[in-house]
Amino acid sequence: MNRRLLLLVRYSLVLSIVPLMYSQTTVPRPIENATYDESVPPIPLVTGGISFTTSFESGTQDLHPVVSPIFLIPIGRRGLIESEFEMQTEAIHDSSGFGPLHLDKSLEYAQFDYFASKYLTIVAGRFPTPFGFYKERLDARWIRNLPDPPLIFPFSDTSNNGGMLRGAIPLKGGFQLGYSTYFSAMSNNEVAGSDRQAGFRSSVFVPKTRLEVGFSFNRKLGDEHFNSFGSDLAWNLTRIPLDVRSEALFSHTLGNGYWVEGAWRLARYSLPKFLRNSQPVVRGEQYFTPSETSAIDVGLPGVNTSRVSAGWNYYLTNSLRAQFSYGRQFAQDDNHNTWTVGLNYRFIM
Amino acid sequence: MKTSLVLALLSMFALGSASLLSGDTTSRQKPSPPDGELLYKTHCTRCHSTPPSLSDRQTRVIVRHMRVRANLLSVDYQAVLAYLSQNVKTRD
Repeated sequence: MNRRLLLLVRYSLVLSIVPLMYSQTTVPRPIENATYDESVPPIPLVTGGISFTTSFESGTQDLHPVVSPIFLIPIGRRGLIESEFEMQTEAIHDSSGFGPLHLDKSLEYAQFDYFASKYLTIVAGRFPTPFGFYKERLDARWIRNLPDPPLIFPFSDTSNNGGMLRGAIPLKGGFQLGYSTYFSAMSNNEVAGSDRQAGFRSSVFVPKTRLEVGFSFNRKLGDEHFNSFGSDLAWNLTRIPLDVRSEALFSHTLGNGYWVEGAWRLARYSLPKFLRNSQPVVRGEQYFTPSETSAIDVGLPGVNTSRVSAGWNYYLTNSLRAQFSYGRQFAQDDNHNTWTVGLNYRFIM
Repeated sequence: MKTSLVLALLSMFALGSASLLSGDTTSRQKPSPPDGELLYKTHCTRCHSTPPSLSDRQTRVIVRHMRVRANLLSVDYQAVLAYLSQNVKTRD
């Protein structure tokens, strides 16, 4: 418990103090006079990503293709239907050859958004869980900075069948309050399953410093009721081209963990083109199992685990990116290295 | 102990948030015109690289999608849409 408390206090202090440092800075809010030709209607389109990565660990090679098309259908002036369907498979090769192949299919989201007012969007259908920000914003293969998601990602790597209210409200001094609150019903569907749960995420965004601090709460309402708390930070430093992102999970039932990631945008420097198209990334993370054994398995590590990763992204074009990464994992009786090479392509049709 | 942890986390988050809500003098300045390009860089490229060139009609549905995904303010959504609409390539 002492370790969890220390982790919680350290992380929360960082999240609380950083906004205090910037509480005196302000940015005037823009007035609402932006103009565009409203007679031009939006059209339905298909976008998404295609990714292929291969990982090397001691004695095994993993081939991992992923296709995730996103369908966007505007409805009138205030509605939008959006849906993402993900297909992936994993071919593992070891000394005995390739293992069996399984095509995994999942409906990431299929939601109807209604922009009820300037500050409220009503969402109904299947939507990604707004716990932290990785699932909603960074999970797409063409966006994530490292091929592997964080160790604690399995907790928020879920979708909900239900309803959600969300939006953003301007605050004094140019700050923005973002909120998402949701309820999900239980579903055992193989492609679109969900847990019975409720929760919210709220965040404060400081546009001038591009700093966002968020807090998430989730309560599982299935056979076993329990609470989970999360905090997150995203800071795109403006003086130096560094993006800092971090999330933490606190749960008596699921354990505790965090990750901190830094990525450099070399495009801002006067460097040769090869370096300007490059993005170095580093991430450190830890996960601590709960003190009491739980029957719930969401895919988190079974033992205390730490991992450091370093990667290099190279943008061949704005839509095509090559990824290289190295990770060293430290866990009880399972210290190992992982090398990953991948290609990500984003398309819009 | 669990309640204490929750209260500690909530109060620290509230402390940070409250500091942002505290009033200041400069916030009463006359609002400046929306800078769509600045808002685009602030909200869009902080998560992903610059998207490929889109038509005006494609841009409208993509920005509507991102209004939900990134919790954009209504005013910022309009400013980004206006900026991108004025800078799209004519592919309609």
